[in-house]
Amino acid sequence: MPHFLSLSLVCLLSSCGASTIPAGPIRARVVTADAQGFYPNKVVEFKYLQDVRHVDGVIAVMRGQSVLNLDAPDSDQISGDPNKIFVKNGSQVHTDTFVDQHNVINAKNFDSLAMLSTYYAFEQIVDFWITNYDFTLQEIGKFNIYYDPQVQTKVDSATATITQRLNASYFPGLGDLFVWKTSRLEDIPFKMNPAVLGHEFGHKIFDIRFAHKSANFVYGQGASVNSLIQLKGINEGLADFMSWLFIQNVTLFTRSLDVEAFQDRIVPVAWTSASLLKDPSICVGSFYCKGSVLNSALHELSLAQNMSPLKVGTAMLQALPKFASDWQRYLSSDNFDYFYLLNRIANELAGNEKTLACTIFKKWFDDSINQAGLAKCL
Amino acid sequence: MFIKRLTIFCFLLSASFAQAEIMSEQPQQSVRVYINSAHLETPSGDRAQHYGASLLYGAPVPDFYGFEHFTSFGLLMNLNPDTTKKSGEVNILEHFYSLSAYLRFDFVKLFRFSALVGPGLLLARTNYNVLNTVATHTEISTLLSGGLAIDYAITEQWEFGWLFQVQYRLAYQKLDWYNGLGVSFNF
Repeated sequence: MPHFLSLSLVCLLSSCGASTIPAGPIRARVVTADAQGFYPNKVVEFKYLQDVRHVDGVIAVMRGQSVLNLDAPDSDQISGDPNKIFVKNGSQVHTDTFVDQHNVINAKNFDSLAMLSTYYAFEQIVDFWITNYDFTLQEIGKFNIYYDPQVQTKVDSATATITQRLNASYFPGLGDLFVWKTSRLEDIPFKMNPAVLGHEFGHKIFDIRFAHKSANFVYGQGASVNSLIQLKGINEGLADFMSWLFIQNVTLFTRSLDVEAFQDRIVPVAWTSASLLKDPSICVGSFYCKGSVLNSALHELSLAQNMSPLKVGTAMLQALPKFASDWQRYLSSDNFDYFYLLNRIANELAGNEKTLACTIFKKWFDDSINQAGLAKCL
Repeated sequence: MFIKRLTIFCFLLSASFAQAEIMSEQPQQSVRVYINSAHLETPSGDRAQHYGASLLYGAPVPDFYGFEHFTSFGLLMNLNPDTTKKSGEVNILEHFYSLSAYLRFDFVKLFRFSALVGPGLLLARTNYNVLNTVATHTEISTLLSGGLAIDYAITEQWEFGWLFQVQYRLAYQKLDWYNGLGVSFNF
């Protein structure tokens, strides 16, 4: 007993168990991936992370215990005001880590590993867009990563708090990202899958270049139901394409959840816009399915001779503000469709590249509305 | 759900012994065993629930530095293995085993109400299985623990009771709480 007490006292005085984060660049073991696949416990060096304990840095800060208000009216949901969107806007997270003999930070538990892996993935993604497409940190802005958020709603007089799983998401207007609680059904957790996070960040890129960070631009201007469905599909298809631009692997989604909804998003897909229109049951993902046609077209164009992912990605980004003006003009139309965006992308290319783009776009979008819309695309 | 059912069962059991034996007001040497449910603070501030066991050994201290209210001291051990599968290919199980020394103050009025407080050591063993790469990390750190127990005499030697503990992990600044039901044997 005296030995135990004295050991406890020594431990108390020396804070035994706590590791001091080494000075200099932050190096940690995370789960990450590249075009070749996933790597467990890869030692990486963080560029933007400044505070390991609270997962806070230049590009983003992580927040836990947030609760979204599902009952907030639409006007509040698109306001971009956290006070109107959240019941509880979350609090600092506190990772548990230790430093090994190589001065590398190691997570002590699942959540700490997930937090560091998520942050590292977003560092890689942000850096990709800055390096290749001239985005700036100011343009992207520091964002929140909500870790394991919950959703609250009222059913009669009772308040229900719901834990959503099997997802990650981007909240337009707010400009923040959500990594939802991990399900046992996920093989590699969504929050550790850079392809999934790259897709969600693709929504942020779309939000910046198309909607100027305003959810009201999409949802608050009286768009027709058809226009909103088409825009959702375009947004999803472009987000998948942007994820591929970043990671250059079309199958990584299925490493998290190998279900039909994800298998249907492996490009090139087996359908065109016309065959999808004729038989919607060939794909299970609703508007995602047409988005995957767009992704397939851009993917094929990127891999074509004398083309590159960088060229197509640049054309897409330059086309987005112009497509935004099409949206403002035609959003109430019942015939709003993908051809507005496809024409804008083709117009960012010249000569043979434009001809090739038009040929590929017409091949994938072979339904009557898009064929008519693409008639002048040569 | 299991704990709720166990609670109902145990309360019914204790009610059947309503012809209470006289509970000794004098501290006795005792061993207590509890089935507990640990609610461990996670990095996000949420709580992870682990089931486990608590073991207590107590011995009387008739005159603890002249402060008569500390009626006994002892050791408290919590065993809380992590059995929760996190995902298909990334699993990190963090098992907690703690040993605390405590001082206990008792107050008897039909039930025995006990408050206990003391420092302890936590052995945290982390088993990593990340994309089929397996590793283990073991670490000892310090904690402060406090608790409240309510016991009811079934016989002169056997008691049935509830133990609520809080433990503060000093190194990681995390507050856990444990809720347990169990029996004690007084020597």
